[in-house]
Amino acid sequence: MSLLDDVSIVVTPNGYKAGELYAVVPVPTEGSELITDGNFPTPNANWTIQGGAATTWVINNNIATRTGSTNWGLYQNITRTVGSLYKITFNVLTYTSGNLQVRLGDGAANNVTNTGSKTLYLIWDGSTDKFAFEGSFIGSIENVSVKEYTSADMDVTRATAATRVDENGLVNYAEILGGEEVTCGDFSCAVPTDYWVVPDGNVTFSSGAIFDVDTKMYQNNIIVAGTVYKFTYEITENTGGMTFRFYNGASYNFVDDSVGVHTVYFTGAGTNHRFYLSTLSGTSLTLKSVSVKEVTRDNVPRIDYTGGGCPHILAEPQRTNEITYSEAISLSTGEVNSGTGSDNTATDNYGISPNGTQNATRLVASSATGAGEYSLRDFVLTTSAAESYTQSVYLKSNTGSNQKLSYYGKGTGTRGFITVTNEWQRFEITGASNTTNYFIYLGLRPEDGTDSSCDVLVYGLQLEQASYATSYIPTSGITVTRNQDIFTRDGIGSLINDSEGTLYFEGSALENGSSSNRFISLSDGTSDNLIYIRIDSTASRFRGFARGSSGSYTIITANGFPQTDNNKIALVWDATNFRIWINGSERATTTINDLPVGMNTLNLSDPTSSGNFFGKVKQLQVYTTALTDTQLAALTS
Amino acid sequence: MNIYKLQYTNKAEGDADLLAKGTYEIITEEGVTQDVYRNGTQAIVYLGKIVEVPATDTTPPIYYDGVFYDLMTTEEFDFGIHELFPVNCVHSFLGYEKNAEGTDVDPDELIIE
Repeated sequence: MSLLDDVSIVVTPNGYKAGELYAVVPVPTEGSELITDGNFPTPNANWTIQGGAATTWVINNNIATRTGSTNWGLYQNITRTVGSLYKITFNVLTYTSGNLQVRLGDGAANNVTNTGSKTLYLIWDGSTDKFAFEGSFIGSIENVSVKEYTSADMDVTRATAATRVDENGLVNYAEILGGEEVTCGDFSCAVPTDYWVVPDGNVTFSSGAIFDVDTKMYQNNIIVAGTVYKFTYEITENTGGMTFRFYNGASYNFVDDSVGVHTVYFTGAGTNHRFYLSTLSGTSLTLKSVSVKEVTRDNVPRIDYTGGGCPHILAEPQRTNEITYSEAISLSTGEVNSGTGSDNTATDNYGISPNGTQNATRLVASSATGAGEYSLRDFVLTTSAAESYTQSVYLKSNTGSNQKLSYYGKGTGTRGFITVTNEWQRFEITGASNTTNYFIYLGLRPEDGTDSSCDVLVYGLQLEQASYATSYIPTSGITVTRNQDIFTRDGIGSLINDSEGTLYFEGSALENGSSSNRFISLSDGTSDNLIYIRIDSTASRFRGFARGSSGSYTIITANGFPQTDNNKIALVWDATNFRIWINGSERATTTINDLPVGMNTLNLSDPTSSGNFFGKVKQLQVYTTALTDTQLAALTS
Repeated sequence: MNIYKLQYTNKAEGDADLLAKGTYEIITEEGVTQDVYRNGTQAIVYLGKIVEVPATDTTPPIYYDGVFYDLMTTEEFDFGIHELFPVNCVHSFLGYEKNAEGTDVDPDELIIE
């Protein structure tokens, strides 16, 4: 029998969209229709209008209309399962004012305040069996449907952008791109002016769009205010130093006018929906192609390929990059030299960086070789308290040969050298500030074994107030924060077996030991009923916890497994035993005190959303059976 | 999404006000204490002191009065005199414009790669 016969949830680094990480198992399914007369036939026989015939809900001609502000509801009693998720769809035909509250039982309502087709997901809390429309809404609705929805896709919350290493080894933003907004963006269509409006006629089309001075062209119905776009363009010729700009719907923005491929992210504004391209001064500019696509970065889960091989789901804590210019190294660092002839120069935007564009800084230095002599770039952070800091930077040789450089900070131990190769490498150092500053030094210090001259590329300087480095946070002028990643999934009671089961995790934590415990949990959404893996605050320790009906915890402990290693951990429970398997063997077992009841939630945190797990997730699986020893050995080896 | 830029006399006052408003809670488990975001809080960033005049070789830095926080939340709060509306901020959230603050802020207006 295959393990897959019993697995009910499998989450791997796979498909995703903004705010959601798709599970491989189960395939999302919808149950049968639970609403009768969702199309509001006349006469009404199945919808109950609170308050009777004199109320403000009127059902007529397949439409339910609410005309007054008296707070009465429209509802049906339907058959549901406690803790399960329900997909609710309907269309708001007209909207005048107020909140249309959509509610299952006595649970929290979702508010709708505009027209259009709506899809909501709600969990039944086990209270009244009503499905109801309530609130102060004035307007009309039609075509109501409620179906049980089975899926283990995890909700992802971060609310900021974030970077990752992609499958090509490039450091870039995790983002979702929409379809192409521009038509005839490569100008190869038969009649480009069918799509591009050229008001003054001073743009001609021949192997691209050729702009005269002080001219413009545009397309209609492109820009929507508040939407973020990725604008990519290629300039193949620029004569006379022509400047180039685009219009975001409300204002012009000057952008890179040099020959090459360029990318700009911008937020649409205004109300005319036009996307303009315009030139000023100079003589002539040839634009080979233009692309405008909607882009979403917030809450996009990160499938990360750091280290190569199979990817992992990256979950990181909130971090701030204290370096104000992480890429323009000449602006974020200063030159400090000692000894005759010691000198260095930083040239920004010189080479191709780990994100694939020309924004790496070139650092050329030479240093005198006596004791106490050096040529360095320094960054100094003013602090007011002693704290741990971790500095990181990407470096690559610009000569074709390995080079020995000095890279250190305050409180980072004995100085030495690092070897910079022809491949981009990220160098990470953790140290401590004093009560006034933390500094970073990069360059040459021959007394420590470095070369006496260097020519290297530098990218992505980062300083975090923490004991380990996280993914790159780009900055350009001020410090920037990336929020923490949170993964949750509730309403999956049908996929979890309280009486026996297996919770399996493969991955690693970002630090071995921590100031707090970190969890991967199954629960009923409270601490009363749970099964969880605790990545302990004590280094190299994993613990399993089980609890039922607010009874005493059953706890098992396994020591000797560095949490930053890739570990394969299974918690197994049944009516008698509670066991933990790690990396091919059973590591601890005990008699279970109480079986949990009503588990319906899977979190990368504890049941109450504290103790977030931060690390790399390769697999997350839930089984509805207590796997056998043979199965567990195969699974965790 | 809402981003608030806040100023307090000191960290104790700021932490207490943010705690009282329910933006986070303090949880202690088996002797381990941690701050956990609550009620729509996406991030609390303690900026500490902000330098008004940078240090030189001979003079220490001069700081603005008090300490500063950036709060990102889905909820709306009235922070009264503690809320600032700076025009040249020293901190932002990744993907949001430099001076984003107040209610319904949008992601970054312009990022050039």
